[in-house]
Amino acid sequence: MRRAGHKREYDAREAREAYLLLAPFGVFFLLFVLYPIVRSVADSFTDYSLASRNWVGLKNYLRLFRDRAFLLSVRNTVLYAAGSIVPLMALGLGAALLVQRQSRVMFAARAALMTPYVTSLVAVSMVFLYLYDPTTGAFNKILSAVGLPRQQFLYDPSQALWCLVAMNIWKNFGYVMILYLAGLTGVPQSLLEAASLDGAGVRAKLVHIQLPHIRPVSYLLGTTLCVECFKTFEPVRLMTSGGPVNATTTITYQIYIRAFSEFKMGYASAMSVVLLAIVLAVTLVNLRLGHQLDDGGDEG
Amino acid sequence: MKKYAALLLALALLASLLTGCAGGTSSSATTAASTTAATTAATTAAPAGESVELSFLRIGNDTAEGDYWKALIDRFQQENEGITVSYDDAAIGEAMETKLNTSFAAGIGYDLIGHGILSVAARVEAGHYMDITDYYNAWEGKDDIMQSVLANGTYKDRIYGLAYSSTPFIFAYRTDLFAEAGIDNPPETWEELAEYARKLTVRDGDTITRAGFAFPLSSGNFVEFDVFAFGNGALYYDEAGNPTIDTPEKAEAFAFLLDLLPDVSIPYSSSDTNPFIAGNAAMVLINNVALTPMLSDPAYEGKVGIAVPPHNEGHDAATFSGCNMLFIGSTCKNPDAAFSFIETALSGEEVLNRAKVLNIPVTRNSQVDAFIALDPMNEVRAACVSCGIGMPRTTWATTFQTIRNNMVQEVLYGASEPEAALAAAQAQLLDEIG
Repeated sequence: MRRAGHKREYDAREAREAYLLLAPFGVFFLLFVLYPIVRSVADSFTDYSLASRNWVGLKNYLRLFRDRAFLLSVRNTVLYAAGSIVPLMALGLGAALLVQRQSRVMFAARAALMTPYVTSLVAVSMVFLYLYDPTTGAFNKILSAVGLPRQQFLYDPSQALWCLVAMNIWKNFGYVMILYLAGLTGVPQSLLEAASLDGAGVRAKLVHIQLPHIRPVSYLLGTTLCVECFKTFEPVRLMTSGGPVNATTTITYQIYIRAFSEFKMGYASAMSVVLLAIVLAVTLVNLRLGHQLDDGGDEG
Repeated sequence: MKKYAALLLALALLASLLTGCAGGTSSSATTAASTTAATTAATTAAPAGESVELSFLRIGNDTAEGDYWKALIDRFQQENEGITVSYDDAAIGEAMETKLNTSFAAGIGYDLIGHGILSVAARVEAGHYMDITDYYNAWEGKDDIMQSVLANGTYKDRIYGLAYSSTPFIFAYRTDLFAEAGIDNPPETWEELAEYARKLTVRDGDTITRAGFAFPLSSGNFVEFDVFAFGNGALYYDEAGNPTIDTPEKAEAFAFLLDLLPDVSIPYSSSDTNPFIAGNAAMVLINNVALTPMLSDPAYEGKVGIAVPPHNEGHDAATFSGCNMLFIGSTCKNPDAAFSFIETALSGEEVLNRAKVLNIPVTRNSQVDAFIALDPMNEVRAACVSCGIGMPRTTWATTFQTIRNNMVQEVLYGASEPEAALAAAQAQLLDEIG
């Protein structure tokens, strides 16, 4: 009985200590993560500007549906994400398969392929701004040299978004490659050797052994790349300011313009809540899909 | 033992976090205490033995102007013992707005703020700027300040800001290319502009390699369109303060540009180096300050001229003119000392000194002749200020900018007819104003 009392006291003390240890993070999380989220959601139902904050109910949300720039930003963001993720994963996987062998040359190749990822996005944007320049840019010089027509790139509403997508792919496929490389090193060598002995070719080994093993990496990449693409802001701000004719405006850029240029904090908060909902939905679908496939895989 | 050490560490971390939060309060409390003490006796300088600290945030982070203000602050501090001015600046645009918003949201604010016309209505309505009408009325320089410039800092008949610089859009042209093409003078009318621009355009096949007249195509703030609209008699708003986007004058300006630009301009945006600065254009509308590096570049010595922007026949010359002013923050505890700094910055001597150092037009009538005598180009700069129109001093000014920028792009890209785009923009702005 006395021993049980000591045990309870000990447990309670352990719990208190645990909470104390967690407290710094808890305070940080409450102040700088949870509170801003709650505040944003609350502000989205107001006309909060720098001057006043009045309750407007769903007005901001209803207005989103007739805001042409916002609707275009949703379309552009989805296209940007869709246009980036599939090529990024395909190129990243391809590169990982090419450089997975252990040798000095392959090590150098990996480092070279990773360089764009570790380069500052601002610097990359500035370089691509020059490359895409229709009058003096390098890309048009190359096109002219090989007899192809010059392009307007960032000044053509039908090309501008895809120019940003291309830059995004170039910059980030090294990151995808590294994660896939890590996944590929986890594939049991014995399985690959056994498959080789059974006469399996490169393609068969990739489809039936390597890809199923690196499926968790693919889910992770699918989710993180999706979130990153939905948050895209810097290249838009630096290279196009959302133009031409809103062809490259994204949700985060619209939030930024409404909040920090027009001071419509309430309306910008409503956009943020919508973005949060979209990202949350995409993440949940990704996770759900991953679990279903994993379950299917297990059953299989 | 380990457990206690960990516990101690956690407590220390938590304490440091809380101390960090408390630090701000403590610091501001100290400032408030010292400034309150100073306010009780402050007239134009700090009372003997007491010190007054003023914080100053200026829009724009260019080194030349930053150095000028730091030097002025040094002189002011020497002349006003006990007053210290801490200087800070921020890039034009969101950097400046974010800094101000954060500071005022925290209840700190700035004592002195150097900001543009666009800020007046929004910041007055937000309660960030102090009404300085009484200070202005008692100021010796009040009758000397240019009326067009004074209007920029006035909102609802009260004065909030006093101008320290005007930044007009001027028409810049390459005199060497004009001479090559046998053109003697800069264009005064749209017709002349079109004729000269076509003459000065250089092509490589179908591609324009040097613009006869460069006009931005994508992104940025299309003040250049406003200059054409003003040159055709249009304004930002009517006498009742209602926006006037959808007017025949603006449709005519679009028609002129749509006819001209495909033949003479190369694509560029505010993110790029201006093609005139890069040597790829013969004529351009450009901010006076932005042209300064080119004018001081030995490679372009004697090759650049400036003029008042061309206008449509039958209308007066007009241009856009930005204006930066000094405001006193509503949280300022020492407005007397703050206005004393404004008086120093806007004294006739200092206005002329600023014009010399920074190449910017003067804002006091008594200094115009001396300003013109400094540089032959200053006559044009002064003329641009006197016919300059600033951004609307309304709470919808920033929304107007966004809508105007989209509208101009839609028309230039052929996504919309000028009349339809103007009508849609007007409707959208009215809808946003509510």
